[in-house]
Amino acid sequence: MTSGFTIDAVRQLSASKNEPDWLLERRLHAWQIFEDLPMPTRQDEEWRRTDISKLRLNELTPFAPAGADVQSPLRLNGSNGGLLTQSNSVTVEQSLSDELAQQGVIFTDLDTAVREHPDLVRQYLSTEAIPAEAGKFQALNAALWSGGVFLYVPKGVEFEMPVRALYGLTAPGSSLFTHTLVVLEAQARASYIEEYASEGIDRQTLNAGAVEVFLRQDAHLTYITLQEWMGKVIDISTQRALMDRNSTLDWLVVGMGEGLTKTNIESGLRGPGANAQMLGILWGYGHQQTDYHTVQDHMAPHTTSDLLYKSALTDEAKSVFSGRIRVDKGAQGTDAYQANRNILLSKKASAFPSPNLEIEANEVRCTHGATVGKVDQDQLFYLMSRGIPLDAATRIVVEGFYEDVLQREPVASIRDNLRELIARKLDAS
Amino acid sequence: MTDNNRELRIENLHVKVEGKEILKGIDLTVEPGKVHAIMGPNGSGKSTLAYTLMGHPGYEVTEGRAFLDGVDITEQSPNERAKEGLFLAFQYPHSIPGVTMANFLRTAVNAVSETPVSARDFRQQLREQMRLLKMNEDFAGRYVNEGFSGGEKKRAEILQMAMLQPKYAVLDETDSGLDIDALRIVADGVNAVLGPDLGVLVITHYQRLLNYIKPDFVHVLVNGKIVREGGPELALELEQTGYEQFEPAGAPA
Ligand SMILES: Nc1ncnc2c1ncn2[C@@H]1O[C@H](COP(=O)(O)OP(=O)(O)O)[C@@H](O)[C@H]1O
Ligand SMILES: [Mg+2]
Repeated sequence: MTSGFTIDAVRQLSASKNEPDWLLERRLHAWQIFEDLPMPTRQDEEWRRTDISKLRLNELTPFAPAGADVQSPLRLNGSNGGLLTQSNSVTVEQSLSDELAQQGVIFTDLDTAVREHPDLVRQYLSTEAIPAEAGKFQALNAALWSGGVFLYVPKGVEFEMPVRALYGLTAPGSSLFTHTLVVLEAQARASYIEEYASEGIDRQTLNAGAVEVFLRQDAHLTYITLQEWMGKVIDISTQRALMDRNSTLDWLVVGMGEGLTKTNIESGLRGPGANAQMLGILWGYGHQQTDYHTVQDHMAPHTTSDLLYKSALTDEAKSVFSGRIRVDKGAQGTDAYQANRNILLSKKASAFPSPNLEIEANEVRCTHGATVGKVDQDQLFYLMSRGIPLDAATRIVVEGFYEDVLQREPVASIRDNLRELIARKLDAS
Repeated sequence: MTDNNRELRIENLHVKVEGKEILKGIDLTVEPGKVHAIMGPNGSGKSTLAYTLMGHPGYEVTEGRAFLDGVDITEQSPNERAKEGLFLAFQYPHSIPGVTMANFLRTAVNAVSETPVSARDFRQQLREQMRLLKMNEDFAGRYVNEGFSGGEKKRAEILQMAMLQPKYAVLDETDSGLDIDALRIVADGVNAVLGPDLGVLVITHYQRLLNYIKPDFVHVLVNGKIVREGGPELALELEQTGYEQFEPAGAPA
């Protein structure tokens, strides 16, 4: 594999996987777009508060072979309904329970899916949800993705036991292009947990990831995505769900990593009655910078979205949250809620929430609120007056701060694991 | 440590809040097994004394000291004071969203005791104390003071006192906002904890509470100074005469 980002690297990657022509074409098309688009700068509205001028793409390798195992941040053990593990650019493990396989569920890496289910992949991959045209890094992902996850649930198939995937990173100086594609056919119901994790990475490393989700009529997906990149990892990712009539998406984003993160998270409610719940639990520490751009995109009437993102920040962590609610002219009867709550535990931590409403319909219920506050000194005094030392008191307040998200139904299956992870992170700082 | 040291002793305490002197030289000693009442009009500095004793960072001690069983606690953090055996029942308890009473209490009990308490023993104690205070079982699972009624908050304070078993307890207007039934329950709770080892400082505006919690001594605090001291009969006298006699003309009562 050549190092450096060239069109030859794209061709070689595709050739090494024996990919069909349509996919090579798609990769080359994406590469062209990547080359044509300028690198974003802080002059671009979307990148106003996040500086990636230090990203040295030409010093990174676009592919990395498998490395050592990486632990699941949630300490999830066993394969559950199915398990897929990717190490750097390579899928190293995959399984699916017989029960799900017999019902026609597909859970495999995208490379395999391209070979075994080409029509499905061709229909959905880098098309409607995240076309290469979406932006510089989206194009880069579409050109260079490797490994990846494909979850397909046939019409009417329902399962409770989550399937899960772990993207592990162990190669400093490399770049990953994780790509998850989830398709739930009509009336399907599924639960999927995805973790991104690394040990401390001592050199600049990139993940330009993509998650594409398609929910057909009446489908219901519970999707938990957690990132804990440790070390000098820059993550620039886009996650977008397209939701048909009366479909439901319960979506939890957990951010525990310490590097620079710029994530676009979009619910595209394009079918009447679609309903998205978007939750976020974010912990900022060290020199971490996170920049979350969420979009609640109401394209059809009687759609509902409810977003609650909570972020606690210490040290010199900086959090940007830009929450957009779009309501099309035709999307009458829309309900859209958005709340972003931040607490700052140190003087140098900072949070910059900005709600952003574009509402063209007139029968709409929409509320939004963003707050940034310090830890309440009276609460700390109260706890300390009961013998609890300052650090433990602070921890109790922060754990309590996250609790209303933890109490939401979609979190139930991993609630205790997540509590432990939060406690571990708070202990470590 | 000698027996003479077994007391909560406040010596010549001067306290400033936001640059303004609020307490102007308080001397007070509370012995184990005794109940002292501090009475005084609104704004006289009662809560300031309570917060200062507990070590609130906003209250600056400019002169004087406080000792708990011979240990100088004047510079200690609030949690160190709690560990020494001091407890404050807040006039306005703070709520901690997302933190259950049970979790909070368990953390607190483990923080003040030398050896960790087993989950089983803790649950048993908690259930027993809640029963004494006529608290609903679901109380333990509710978030600390979140959405509590006035009476529930006060009962929760007494529950904490019962669980933490302090040597000295300061009760800051634990009677305020309680109807007569709630007052009786709270007073019963306090009396259940009272014994030869606990010294109590009851802060109150009215003498009503003192019908239920019998003081051994009464101190009258006006404008940051103790202006009179006496036995339980002083509380009854004040009920008749009010605090006006102690205040300079024109000052707010
Ligand atoms: N945190 C504070 N900030 C500013 N002033 C305060 C504060 N706490 C108390 N004070 C002032 O100190 C005085 C005494 O108040 P306080 O101790 O609450 O009285 P009491 O409890 O006897 O009603 C009042 O004049 C009050 O305004
Ligand atoms: Mg008061």
